[in-house]
Amino acid sequence: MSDAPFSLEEKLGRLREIVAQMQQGISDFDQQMKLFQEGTTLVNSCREFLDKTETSVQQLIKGEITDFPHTGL
Amino acid sequence: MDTQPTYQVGELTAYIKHRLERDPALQQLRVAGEVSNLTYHGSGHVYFSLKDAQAQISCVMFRSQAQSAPRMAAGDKVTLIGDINVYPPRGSYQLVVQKVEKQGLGDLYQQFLELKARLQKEGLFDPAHKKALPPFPRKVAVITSPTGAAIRDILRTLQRRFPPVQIVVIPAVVQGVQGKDSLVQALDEAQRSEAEVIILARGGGSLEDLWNFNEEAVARAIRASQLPIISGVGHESDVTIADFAADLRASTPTAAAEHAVPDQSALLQQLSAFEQQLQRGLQHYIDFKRQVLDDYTHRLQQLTLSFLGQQRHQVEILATQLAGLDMTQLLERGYTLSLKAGKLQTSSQDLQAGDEIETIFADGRVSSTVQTKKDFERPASPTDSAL
Repeated sequence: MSDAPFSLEEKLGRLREIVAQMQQGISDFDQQMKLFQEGTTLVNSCREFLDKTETSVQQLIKGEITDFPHTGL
Repeated sequence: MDTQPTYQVGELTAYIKHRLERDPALQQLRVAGEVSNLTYHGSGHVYFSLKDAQAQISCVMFRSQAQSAPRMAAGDKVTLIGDINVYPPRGSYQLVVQKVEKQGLGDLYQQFLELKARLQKEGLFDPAHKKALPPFPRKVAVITSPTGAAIRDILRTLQRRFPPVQIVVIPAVVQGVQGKDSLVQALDEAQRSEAEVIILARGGGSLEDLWNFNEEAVARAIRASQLPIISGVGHESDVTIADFAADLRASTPTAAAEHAVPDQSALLQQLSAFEQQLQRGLQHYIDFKRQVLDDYTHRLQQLTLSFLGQQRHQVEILATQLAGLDMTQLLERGYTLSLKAGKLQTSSQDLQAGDEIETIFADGRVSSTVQTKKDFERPASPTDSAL
């Protein structure tokens, strides 16, 4: 699924919902798999976003860039 | 008489000298009389006699005193102040004169006091009337005699202290009978000179010489001036009515010029000091602000990195939780899942023989029909059992 319109906070919120829902117990296997897939995608997306953001912050501190390229913080 | 000692002339004269010069009554005495046999010697000393109807006494006034004393003429009635001393080579005693007061001076002094008291009572000298001096006058009017030491001193002092100042000299008669009207007229003329301050000055002289500066008309002209006036009349010790009426009294013409304009070199020094202070102050301000900025930058970076760290921690907690819920790992290890009508089955009790179920492996699904079933006996909980 596309994560473009979601901020980091929104992604984390969705991730918390997914984990809470899955922890309640397994009933529908396919549904459970879909949730797991969505959660894993969200985790990777968040990690990637945080990696990019941290790189940008370090570049800003060093003065290598002047504009912050990301939003979502 | 044989018992009397015999003196030498020198011894006797020395004794007489000793007696006379140690007698307090003969020192710093005042004596009045008429001047005669007057000689102004080329050396600067003045020799004369002071006499009255009964007697006369030789007098000498040395050059240093003679310079500041009023000029005398034979026949003048004077009061002298001085010491009696003995001059052994001539066997004479004489008055060494320190000060000469011409008679009639007492009258003048009385007039001075009366006028001063009257004008003071009238409020002519009231400090509230005193005008402030301009700190940087562009033009100074100088009222004084165009010849003499006073004008030279004033011009030199003004030009030395503040070269850019414009000077207008308004010549005036400062001695004698024309002086009063001349000074009043000069003061009037000064009002139209576009000057910002007036110096009214005269060099030293006797009380009579300075008398024009004690005239009521001059005092009133000073008070009526629209421009501030600095007086500088005579020497340090001379005080005139004009001094009281002026906005500022300076002790001498030179001092009047010093009060009239600022000292340019001192101003430039002060300016330079201000400039340095300004630069230092600015540098300190910049240094301080830079320090504050550094501090904020550091905190900003720390907070941002710390925030990112917290976010990352949140993500990792959720990632760990999610991984724990990953059923595919169970399947990879050989566990299977059973579904009935798409629903995961977690208990054998929910199944009956004949139910269609689906079994999920890591790599596929199989469908089967329940043939038999056997529910496990679950260990009784401690509350159910009477152990």
